[in-house]
Amino acid sequence: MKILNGAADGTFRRRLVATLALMALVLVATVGTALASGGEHGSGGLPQLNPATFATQWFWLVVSFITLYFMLFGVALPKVEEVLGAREGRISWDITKADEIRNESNAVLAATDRMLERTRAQAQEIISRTSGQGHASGKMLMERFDIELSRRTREAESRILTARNAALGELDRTAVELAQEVATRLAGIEVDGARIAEAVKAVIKERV
Amino acid sequence: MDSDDVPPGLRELPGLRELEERVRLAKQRTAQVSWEAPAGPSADDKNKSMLALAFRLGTEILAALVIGTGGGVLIDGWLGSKPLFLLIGFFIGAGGGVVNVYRAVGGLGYAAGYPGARPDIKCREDSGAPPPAGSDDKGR
Amino acid sequence: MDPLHQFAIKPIFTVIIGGTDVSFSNSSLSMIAVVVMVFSLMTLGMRSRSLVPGRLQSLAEVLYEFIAKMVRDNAGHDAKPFFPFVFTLFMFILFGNLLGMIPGAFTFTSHIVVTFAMAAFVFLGVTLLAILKHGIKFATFFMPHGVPLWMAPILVPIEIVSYLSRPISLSVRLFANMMAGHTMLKVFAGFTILMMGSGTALGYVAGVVPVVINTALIGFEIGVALLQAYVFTILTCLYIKDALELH
Repeated sequence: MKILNGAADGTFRRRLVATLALMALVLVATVGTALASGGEHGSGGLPQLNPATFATQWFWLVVSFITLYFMLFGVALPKVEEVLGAREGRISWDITKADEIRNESNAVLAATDRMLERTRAQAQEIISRTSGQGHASGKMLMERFDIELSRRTREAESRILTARNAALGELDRTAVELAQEVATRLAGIEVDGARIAEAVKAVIKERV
Repeated sequence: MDSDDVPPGLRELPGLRELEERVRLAKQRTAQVSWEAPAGPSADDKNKSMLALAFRLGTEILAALVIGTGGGVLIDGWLGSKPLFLLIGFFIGAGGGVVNVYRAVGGLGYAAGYPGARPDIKCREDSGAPPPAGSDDKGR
Repeated sequence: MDPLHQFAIKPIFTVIIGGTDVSFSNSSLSMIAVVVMVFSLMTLGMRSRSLVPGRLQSLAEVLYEFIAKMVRDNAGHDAKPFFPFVFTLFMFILFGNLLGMIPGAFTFTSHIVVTFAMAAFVFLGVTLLAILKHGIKFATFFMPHGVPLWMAPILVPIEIVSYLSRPISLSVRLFANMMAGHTMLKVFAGFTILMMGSGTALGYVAGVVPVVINTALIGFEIGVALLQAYVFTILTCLYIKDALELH
């Protein structure tokens, strides 16, 4: 029941108080008016059917109705119409504006979608191209690298070899000269180069 | 990469959908307010209250009887044919009352004619819901 | 206590125009009060003319749109020139009915001469409108469509009686509703006075019962006041439609 539900949040009590207050008001009002009009009794019959009152009621009905008609027709209703018209205009302007904005954002959305599509297609293309080539060129690169590597290794080896040979040759010559000079100074004898070279060679052979 | 990876906000902007719907509704509403809108049967057709209707029917019969009989009496007074036109008037009044009741129940307004001949007339009657206040019946 | 006493016309000051007594009475006072109230509501409410309406302005606008919709839906687009009249009629009856809910105030809509004058004006105006708009074709209004010609002598008088009964049913409905409601309220109030007047404890307790009934009745009567103003107005709209379209 609604009332029981309402009781939980005090709505029921508020309604009860309001109802009681209303009833009290009704009591006071009805008793008051009843007492005020009490005593004098109707002359019998419906007061509505008393022809003496017809003219005055019609007269004032016509007067007040025509007055109200022209007041409303001339003053009040145009005002209401104006306000309602202004609001309607404003609302329709708002709606048009909202519609425009919606169309605009739809267009922007479509453009964004298109752009996104294009970008994705481009990316796809690049990716597929690079991944297809990448495999082959990698192999090629490796081969090239291998070749280059072996070439350089060989070069380096040969360079090392010549350097060693050169170094060895120099050493021979130096040793011969040295031996010649040592012999001249110490022994005071002139030894001929061929014999010294021979001896050096023999010594180096022994040592190395 | 699939299209699913597109951020959902761009595909399905919910605000935009909502705006579209709102604009449509608002357009509809403003169309209803203006005088130029097509007149449709009002929503008041429903919840006809039987009590209000019953009272109306009594009034309708009474009014037609008063007119019929009264007219008969007037004609009698004019022609001096004392009870003749009173009786005729009474029966015509009864017939008019039936017609009135028929139209009130059928919701046809008061114009002459019958539903078959006037398919354009929609059910629009005074015993519908009252304007702003409660909808229960108040007829007596 | 006479429950019908509240319907009595009591002159406030005497006015005589052309030898006819048209004294300003409690009925006239109510009518003028209604004029002032309706005009105040419609102008004071719209004073600010704001796009976002306040309470009073909302009420004025709701009433305006309610009647505008009623006229448009029930009387058709061509009925726009009659909108001010229909609006005045609705407001006059509505406020007349509601004003009567104030204890002690006079309800001019509970008088058959008043409601009949309004209904007769509507009836005559609508008939005149139909004749002006359709001329002699107006006579076809009383011949139902799709009915064999030999039935015309029976049906045409019936249709004429049905048509002539419009102002009677229109005025009697409003008058009887307003009078019955106010009489009932007064009768129950009389019970309370009767019971409390007995002076006994039981009398005081029992006297509360009619007050409870009256409290409920007042809500009911406010509903009747609204409904009857609505019915009178919407039937006027339907009559205007008939006159304009002549089915």
